[in-house]
Amino acid sequence: MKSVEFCQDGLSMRVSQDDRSDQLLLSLDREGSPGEARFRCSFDDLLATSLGLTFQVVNDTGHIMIVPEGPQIKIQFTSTAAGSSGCLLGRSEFAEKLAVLRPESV
Amino acid sequence: MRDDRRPTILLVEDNPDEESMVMRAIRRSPITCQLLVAHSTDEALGILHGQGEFASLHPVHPDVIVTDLRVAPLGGADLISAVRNDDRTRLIPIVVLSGAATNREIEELYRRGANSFLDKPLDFEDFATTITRTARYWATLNTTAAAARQSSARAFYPL
Repeated sequence: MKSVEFCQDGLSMRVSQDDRSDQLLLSLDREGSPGEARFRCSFDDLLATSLGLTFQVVNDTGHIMIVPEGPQIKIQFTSTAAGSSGCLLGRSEFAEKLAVLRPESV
Repeated sequence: MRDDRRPTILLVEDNPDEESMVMRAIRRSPITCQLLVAHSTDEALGILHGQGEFASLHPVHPDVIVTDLRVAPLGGADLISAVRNDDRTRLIPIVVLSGAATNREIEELYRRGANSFLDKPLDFEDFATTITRTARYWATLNTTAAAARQSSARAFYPL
């Protein structure tokens, strides 16, 4: 199962392929905090953020919001277990790393 | 029949303050959902039809499109026409939000195929309530036509 990890400012976001579907699993946790927030979304919807769309998923583990800010994207998440955190990533860096997770059927 | 996908809402809004209000309202609501925000009608049609910058992606077929009436460059009315005139998207429900629409404009929106028109309350609490009720109805209670869901069936499964 392929996965990529984005670490910035004490926030770690792991994005991995789901072997049960063509979905991606997003796991976020903050350094020093217990628990993690977990979300599921499609590759295309996540990649759309690098093209300028804002993305938010809310579920019972918390919420994640990805907001474009010029050449960067801001990732903010709140986990019910670990509180709020956020970081900035380059849009192109995000898209390039994410590309390895593109479903093979695409 | 509804399936067990997580509902997805496409918001078309070019005012950052109002986008932020919708995000906050959805975040604190008890609804489990995904929100995609397009900041122009061009972005919205790009993601819906898989064109322009979004050509390399599968088109997104949300459970509902919520659009501001005066979003640039087309405006909500022309966005409705573009969605209704394309077989891939014509069945997707569309809700229009505005703080200042005339009766004539509202009539025109319905004529073009809007499913609902909502006044934007000025007060955040009222606004949040309106958004939450709208999201709950269109994303969790309403059943869209099977053809509208087909393209997005891949999109969401329970975590």
